[in-house]
Amino acid sequence: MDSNSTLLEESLKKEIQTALVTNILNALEANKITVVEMKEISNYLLDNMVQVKYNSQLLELLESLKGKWPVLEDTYKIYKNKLLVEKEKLVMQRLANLVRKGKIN
Amino acid sequence: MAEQIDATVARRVAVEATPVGTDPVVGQLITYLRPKAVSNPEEAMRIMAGRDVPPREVAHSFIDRQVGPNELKTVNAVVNGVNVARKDRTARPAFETQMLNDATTRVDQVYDFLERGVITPQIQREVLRVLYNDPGYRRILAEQVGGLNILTANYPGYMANPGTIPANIRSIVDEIIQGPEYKLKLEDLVKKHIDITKPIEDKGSENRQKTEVLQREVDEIKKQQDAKQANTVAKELEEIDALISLYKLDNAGNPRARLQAIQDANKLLGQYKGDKAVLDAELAGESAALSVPATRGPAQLRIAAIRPLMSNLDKQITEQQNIVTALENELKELQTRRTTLRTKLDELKDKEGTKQAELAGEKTKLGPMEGEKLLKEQSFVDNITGMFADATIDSLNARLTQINNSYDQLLTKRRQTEKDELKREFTEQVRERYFGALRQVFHPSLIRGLRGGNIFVEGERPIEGRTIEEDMNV
Repeated sequence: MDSNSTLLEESLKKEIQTALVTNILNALEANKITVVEMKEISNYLLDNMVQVKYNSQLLELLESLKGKWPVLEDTYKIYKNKLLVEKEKLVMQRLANLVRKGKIN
Repeated sequence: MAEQIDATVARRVAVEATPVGTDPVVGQLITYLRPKAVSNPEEAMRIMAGRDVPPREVAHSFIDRQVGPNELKTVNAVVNGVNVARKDRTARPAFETQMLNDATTRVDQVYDFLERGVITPQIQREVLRVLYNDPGYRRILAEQVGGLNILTANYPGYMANPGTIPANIRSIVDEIIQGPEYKLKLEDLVKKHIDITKPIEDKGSENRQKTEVLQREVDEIKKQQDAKQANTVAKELEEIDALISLYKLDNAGNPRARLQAIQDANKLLGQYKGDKAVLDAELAGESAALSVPATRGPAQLRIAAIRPLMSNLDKQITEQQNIVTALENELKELQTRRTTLRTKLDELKDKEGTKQAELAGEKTKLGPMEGEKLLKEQSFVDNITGMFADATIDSLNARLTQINNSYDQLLTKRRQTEKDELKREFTEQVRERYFGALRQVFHPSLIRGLRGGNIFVEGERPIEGRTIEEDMNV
């Protein structure tokens, strides 16, 4: 696993799941996807979400979802920054540690 | 900054997601899933993926939509650019209403079982069907009732009336019903019948409607050729054949009812005609006597007595003749009707071929999704109505034969093993007895020398290179 990853918090995972389900339902209601696609997306999510343990994995999953079903791009856009900010925070923290230990200037 | 962008995107999402006309059944599902998405998004996803069953009322709507083509409630919806407005629900034909009711009842029973553990005869029937289709379970059940033949003979009765299931079988059925595995199987049944992903986009297509009309025609033609169903051509033909057989001899060579009646009437007719001939002769004699003055008086009296008898005989002859004519006419009519019906059956057979070909042609024009849907609906109907269908019984019987054959093979193998085992046991016993007898006579060291070698018995020649077992002929 990427050493820069932050462990995904359960609350954030649930929030994003809610956002995804809502996103799918909105798309279905707006006839942007069919019920068959809804089933495909849901199955894909259920199969892949279970393996997600880190923020970076979730970001990858959202990217992959966006690639497969563009209607899910909105959820990706909403949470990309949040997940990236978490990642940046972690990188900064590690850098600060290294500086403190005198390993880098 | 990031927060501002998120809010902008969120607003745009909300605007784009404004409904523009959704299928009301899908709308009902969406309404149910929205709060679920917040409280338990994973469960919502499982329902959306078809892995969990939706709530009962949503299931009802989906069944309602899946049964029949377009005769559902009125909606003004446009799905993918296609107007899916449907006719009023009352436009449903009777067979569809029946199908819908059956499906709803069936699914309700499964929900009752899943939610509250209610076990209906229908659920028991489901279990019985699953058990019978499983060779292992079927063997167990066969042992309970004393053989496969008995089980096969009684099974349709058990399925028709689960109240008649013997206690030992009932306990097996109950055990299985309560098991988690069967609960899953029942859930699968609901999922199969309530496929929320069944599309309705092309439901109103002309091609689809034509296919359904053809399918109904083919079903009706098939029904007419089925003598097991009431009010069909085949059934009428069977009944007429049964009536015609009354004009024939039975297996023992005796006339059957109608033929007997004709024969009896003809016999009486012959007798009456004979009697009439006798009276005719008498009348002629008496008429001649009229010309002789001496015999005129008695002849007149005799003639007066003969005439009513003649008249009575004429009546009897007419009556019997009428009986014969009526019976013969009936036979002729039956034969004519039989010829007509046979011709009709031949025509139906030809027509079925033509319609089936036409139907196959229409089906190939359906898109893959439509074709699949049609198949699903057909299997849905088959599941509902075909529990006791001949086809099911036939396929069960075919499977039973296969299993019986495998069972026979296993039995032969097992018998061979048992035979070998017995042979071994017998050899051991003989060997023990043989050496027991030797021990009484010889020293043990001498006996050890004899083991596996040549045997010397007084009065007999030693047989080179043979073992004790071979010599004991076992």
